[in-house]
Amino acid sequence: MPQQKTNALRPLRSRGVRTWRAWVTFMGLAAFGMPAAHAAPPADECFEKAGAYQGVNPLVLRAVAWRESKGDAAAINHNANGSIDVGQAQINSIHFPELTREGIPHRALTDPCVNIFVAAWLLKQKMVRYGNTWRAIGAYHSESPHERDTYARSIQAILVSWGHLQPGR
Amino acid sequence: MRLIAFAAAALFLCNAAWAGQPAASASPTVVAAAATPSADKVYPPLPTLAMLPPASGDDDEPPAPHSTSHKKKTRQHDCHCAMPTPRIVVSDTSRAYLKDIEQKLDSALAQ
Repeated sequence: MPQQKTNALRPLRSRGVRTWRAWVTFMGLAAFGMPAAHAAPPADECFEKAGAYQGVNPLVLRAVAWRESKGDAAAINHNANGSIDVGQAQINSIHFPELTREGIPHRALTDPCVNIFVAAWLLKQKMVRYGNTWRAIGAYHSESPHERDTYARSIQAILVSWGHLQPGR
Repeated sequence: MRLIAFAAAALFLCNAAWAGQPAASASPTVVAAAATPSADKVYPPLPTLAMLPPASGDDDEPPAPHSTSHKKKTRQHDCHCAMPTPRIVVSDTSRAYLKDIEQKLDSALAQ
């Protein structure tokens, strides 16, 4: 897998402190599983906000959510090693202890927005380690080279099918 | 006229107090990070209020001009007029839903 740049980093464009405050309030409530009727954002905005917050490409986040669960926020899947994957970005239960320390109980991962913010957090960890590369995207799924590259290609294919990426780039 | 000046002064105090909070509670690096995420830094999974960018410049409403002509001392309110007011709805249904999710995840983990 060539270590091609993915443009996964893009600058944050703030839309005002009030908007941010509403978002932060919403995310705080969602993390505790409290529905906030007034602050609930459209699901589409979650990708943009999470991407802007961590500095990762929201299209990659969308492709990951589609690849993992077809966007099913309630998806729970078992893995052969006994772990489970939760939500639209299929956050693995291996991260539960760290997320709990960060104030996010695992039940909050069924909130679509919290799930995408956590996915952006995990992807950013890989980007810090591997750079803004397909390798980082593949490592979101697995660190083993074969599975990593297969996964990165599948994300690439999704982006191509959506018209966001030219084939072979 | 006095009423307008009073309202303008109260609005200014309200906005100034609100705008001052993030800058006071967040370090400059955190605020800068919120404005432009650093390529080599992983931020906490969910943003906190301390990560809000400073209020000056891009807020939805500019602060009202400070009126100096009004000498009367105005009482500072604990004003939340510029803040969103989330309406929290926690019902028996939502509690049951969350309990159900927890049970599902716990049983999935136990399998």
